[in-house]
Amino acid sequence: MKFKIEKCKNKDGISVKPLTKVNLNFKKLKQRFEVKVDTPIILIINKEGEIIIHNYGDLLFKELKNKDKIKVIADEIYKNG
Amino acid sequence: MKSTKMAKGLLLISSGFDSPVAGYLMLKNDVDLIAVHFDNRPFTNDKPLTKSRKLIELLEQKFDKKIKFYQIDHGQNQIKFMKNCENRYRCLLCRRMMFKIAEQIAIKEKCNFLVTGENLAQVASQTIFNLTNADKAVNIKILRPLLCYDKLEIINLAKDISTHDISIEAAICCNAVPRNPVTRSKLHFIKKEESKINIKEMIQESLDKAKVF
Repeated sequence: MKFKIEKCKNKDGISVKPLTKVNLNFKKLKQRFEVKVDTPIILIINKEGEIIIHNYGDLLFKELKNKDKIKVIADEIYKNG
Repeated sequence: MKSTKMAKGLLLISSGFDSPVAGYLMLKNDVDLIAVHFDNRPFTNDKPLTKSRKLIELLEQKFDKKIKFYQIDHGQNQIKFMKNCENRYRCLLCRRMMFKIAEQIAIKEKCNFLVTGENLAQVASQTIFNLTNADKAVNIKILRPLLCYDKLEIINLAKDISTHDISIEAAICCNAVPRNPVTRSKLHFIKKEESKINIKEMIQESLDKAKVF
């Protein structure tokens, strides 16, 4: 799936936005990743730092800055969710 | 003679441009301030908190007075809204909850009113309908010194008073904001949503866990 990676609005995190409409399956993601916060709208997982996952597909990497690693993890999230 | 001499306000500070400027304007008018910051972790990082503390320290230095600082763990409240309430109303429920908690701090600290950096229609949650329904959450008066400023005026004022360079520091903004927040909220619907959670318990838990500096 295609997505764009850029600094978030206030510049301290990295944001990933899908370029097509997405509706993530949190049930599947919860089986795959270590979950820190579990709500029907937002999931926060631990994978090389915290990642905020919105059910409409936007991701926010709070700590990880390496865009190559971010691309790999984002691919894994979209593939499994 | 200024009539605000004995007034005391509770400033809701968020680390952006607006609330520190609102605080500055009140201090300039001889109002004493106490500050409260609602910490939205894990939906943000620790930067909004550290920036808020720096902004308050700057105002303390400018006016040579101590400003007590309350830190409230608001992330847990956000999780309850996400789990139980209508998504589009989440911003407004959050705002009303902040006001309810702030009102209790204001009573304890003998503050006469709340002060916010809210600005008419700057963001979806700040429409006149939403501000009106946010006001109805509390009995205490809410003062909004920046209500009709435009963003450029606020940023220029922030530059003049030196809060700009702190406000502009990198942070992660609150990710608990819904994609399409309601702009024409209805009070009966808000109350229905609030009835799904134990508001009183949430307020008490937030106050019990408050950190004061």
